[in-house]
Amino acid sequence: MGTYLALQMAYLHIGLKSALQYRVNFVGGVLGLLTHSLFAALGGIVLIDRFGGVEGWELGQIVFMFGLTRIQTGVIYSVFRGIVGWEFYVQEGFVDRYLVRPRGLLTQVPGAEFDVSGFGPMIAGAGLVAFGAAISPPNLTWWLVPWLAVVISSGIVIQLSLTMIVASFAFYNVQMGAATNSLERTAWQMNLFPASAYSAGVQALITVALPWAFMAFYPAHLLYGRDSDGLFGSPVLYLSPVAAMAAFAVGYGVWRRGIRKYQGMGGM
Amino acid sequence: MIHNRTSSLAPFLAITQLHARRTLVARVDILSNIAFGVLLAYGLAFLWQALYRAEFVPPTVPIDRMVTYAILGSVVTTSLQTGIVYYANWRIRTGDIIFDILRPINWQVSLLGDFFGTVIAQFVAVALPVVAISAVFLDFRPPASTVAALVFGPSLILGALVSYSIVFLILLLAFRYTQVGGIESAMRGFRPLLTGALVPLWFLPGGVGTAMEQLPFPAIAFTPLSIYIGETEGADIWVALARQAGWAVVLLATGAYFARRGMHKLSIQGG
Amino acid sequence: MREDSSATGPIIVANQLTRHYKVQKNALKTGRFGLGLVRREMEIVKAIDDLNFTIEPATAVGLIGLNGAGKSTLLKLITGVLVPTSGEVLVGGLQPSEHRKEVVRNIGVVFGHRSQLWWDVPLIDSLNVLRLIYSVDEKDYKQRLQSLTDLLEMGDLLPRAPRQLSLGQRVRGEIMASLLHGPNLLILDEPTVGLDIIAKAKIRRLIRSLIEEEGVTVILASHEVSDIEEICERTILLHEGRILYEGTIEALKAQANVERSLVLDVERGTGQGSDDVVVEQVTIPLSGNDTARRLAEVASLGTVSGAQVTGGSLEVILARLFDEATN
Repeated sequence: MGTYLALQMAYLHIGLKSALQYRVNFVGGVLGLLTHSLFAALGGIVLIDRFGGVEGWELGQIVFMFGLTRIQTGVIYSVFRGIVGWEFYVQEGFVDRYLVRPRGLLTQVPGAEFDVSGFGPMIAGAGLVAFGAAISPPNLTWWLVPWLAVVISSGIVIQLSLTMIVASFAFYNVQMGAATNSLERTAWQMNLFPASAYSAGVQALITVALPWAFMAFYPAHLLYGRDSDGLFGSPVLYLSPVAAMAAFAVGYGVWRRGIRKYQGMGGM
Repeated sequence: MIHNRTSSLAPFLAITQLHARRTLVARVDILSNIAFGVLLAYGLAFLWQALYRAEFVPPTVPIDRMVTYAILGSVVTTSLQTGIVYYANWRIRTGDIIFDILRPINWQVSLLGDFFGTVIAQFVAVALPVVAISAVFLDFRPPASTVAALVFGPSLILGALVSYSIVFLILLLAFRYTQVGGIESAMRGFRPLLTGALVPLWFLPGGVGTAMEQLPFPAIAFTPLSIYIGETEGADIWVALARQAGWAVVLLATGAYFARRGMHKLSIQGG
Repeated sequence: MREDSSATGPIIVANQLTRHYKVQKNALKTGRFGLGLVRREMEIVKAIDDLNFTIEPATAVGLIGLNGAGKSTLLKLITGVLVPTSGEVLVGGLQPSEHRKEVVRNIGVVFGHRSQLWWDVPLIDSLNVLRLIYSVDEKDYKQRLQSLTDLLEMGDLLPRAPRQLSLGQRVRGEIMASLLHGPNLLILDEPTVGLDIIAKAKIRRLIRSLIEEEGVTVILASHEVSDIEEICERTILLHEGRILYEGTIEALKAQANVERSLVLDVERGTGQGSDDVVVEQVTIPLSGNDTARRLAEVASLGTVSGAQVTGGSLEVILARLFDEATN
């Protein structure tokens, strides 16, 4: 564990050092994704402000929830950049390079492919959370901060697991670069609005198959002292960590299968 | 000169076809784009219904038209998303751009072939299935009138041209700054909003909507979409088309001018 | 660690090692509607076909083969990146695909076409990350760093980033990076690609001294035949996934001798005037047992004004071997 942490720190150190060599790119990458997140939010804000809310959710609450999902996405973009762009790494033979080392792929890839531009959505997300909380303050209880920490980490794991499932296609020599993109894009558009706005079928889908509703929507109910207004009643409001673990079990399983298949198939 | 222009049509078509096929071969990409597209269409349809249920001065556009607009906006945005900025940026950075410039076909034209090939393939293989499914299961409506039906196609193509010319201007920045990926990322955030694909301009607060109409972006999605649902009608249609064409010409010419300067710089500095 | 492996016999054993690929015929055929929904035709390529060989510790083995002969596949099987279709390869007694992490801990890999170093940060920083990847402890690392720096003459290069180094210096950096964790097996895939003759010679000398001083076993895949000639004692010739020749370079060279001949320019008087001479070329095969007699004969004909050896280089015999094997 000690050397594991030391390794991740060394990766981070070398990644930042390398990124800082090209200050324009560094700033450009961060600003690009920061603006992306802010404008994505702005679209929602304009609409909700115009219509005065969605299904009883106020503007501030919606922005707060969207901000949380942006922080989670930012972490995916910086720490798990390698998995988002996995197709490239398979095609360019990076996988082989990782496999000739005595470490697992998931130990090496996050650090080795760390991308600072993920700080963009993280910063934007933090700003949106602060902005949302300023307009619609959540209940200030002692468990607010710990619960937020749990929610944010669960959301990261959920989105990571989904990304891993899509990325695993690359092990089968399948072209899927656009699929990871549309996964991310669909996630942000769906997360922009409260899940209760959607039909029962869509709600079921984003609770069970693509559990995006656990990234912010369900757990935020507790922060705003709301009862469940969704399809699944109140238990789901507490279940983000469980959903994350379940998603990861599936995602990791698919990923392992992909590696096995890659080793069995490989490229010339 | 004339000889040059006629001879570049065949390679242009070949490039377009090549990239269309390249896009179509990626079956996982296409199937997942259809699946996510349908999910987004469902999401948008119900979202707008939820918005219309909120207490607010009733909008002038009926809900079914608004749902149609939103779904079209989503598929048009997806269809227009290509990787050419990242790709050209990569080639400029590695110096491989020299091969593109050495070819006896104008770089701006050959990239347009790349763009159109990808966009047409995405439109046919992804957007149309999503629209077909939406037409069966959701409040998706046919074009508002015969004129709207006839003009929608050309307007969409003009919109795609404007979209390309803006993308081209962005990637020209790569000659100066080695990395323009950030700008493209930011654009992916702007695009649904600035083009009016996510929020029609008439829902924007007063001044903002009018100001945005003066920009080229609405020509990409807002113009064809409002023609389709009949919000733009009669003589306004022709004015709208003329504006789109005007933007396309101006932006493409600007691109051509700066491309020439960029190449010139490249040939002096040697990359 | 290294002493152990030399005591326990071969470091690599391949038993009927076989690796097939399923590849798609005509990849761009996309079907009637362009979606490629029709069944794609698959074809089986035998990349590695029933190989049996052993590699002894502290030796250097050269892997020679045409493009697509199966060299990369074999290296990937040895490093556990790929799983054999049938048969097995044992590295230090373990199956790499089953015990990947244990096996690769004792392997260093250099790909001439790729880099394991961070392009734009000082070499020493890359080495530090690799130290942590391989869990080399601080003390061993310092020692190792010192000895490798001396051996590979990297002294003042460590604070520099790879992008500031010449290709030759960078390759030395790559070799250093792959040896940091003290592997007893070093795999080199085209290590001298793109290097000039001076840099090539230097790399070859360094690899040789690694084998002699450090007792490292080297597997070298290269299209540069002279790399293999100068570094390796043994060679494996791969052709379409099978072994075409396995043995010492000496034996191969002896075979090469068959083809070698001496071409002499002989000046002979025409008999009409003392200044009037013609130059005649005489070819004498070097393999025959009458070479000396024929040389004497030629010398008696006139003055030998020039001599050159033709044909018979390792490269020529290899080309002939591969050519014969293909037909």
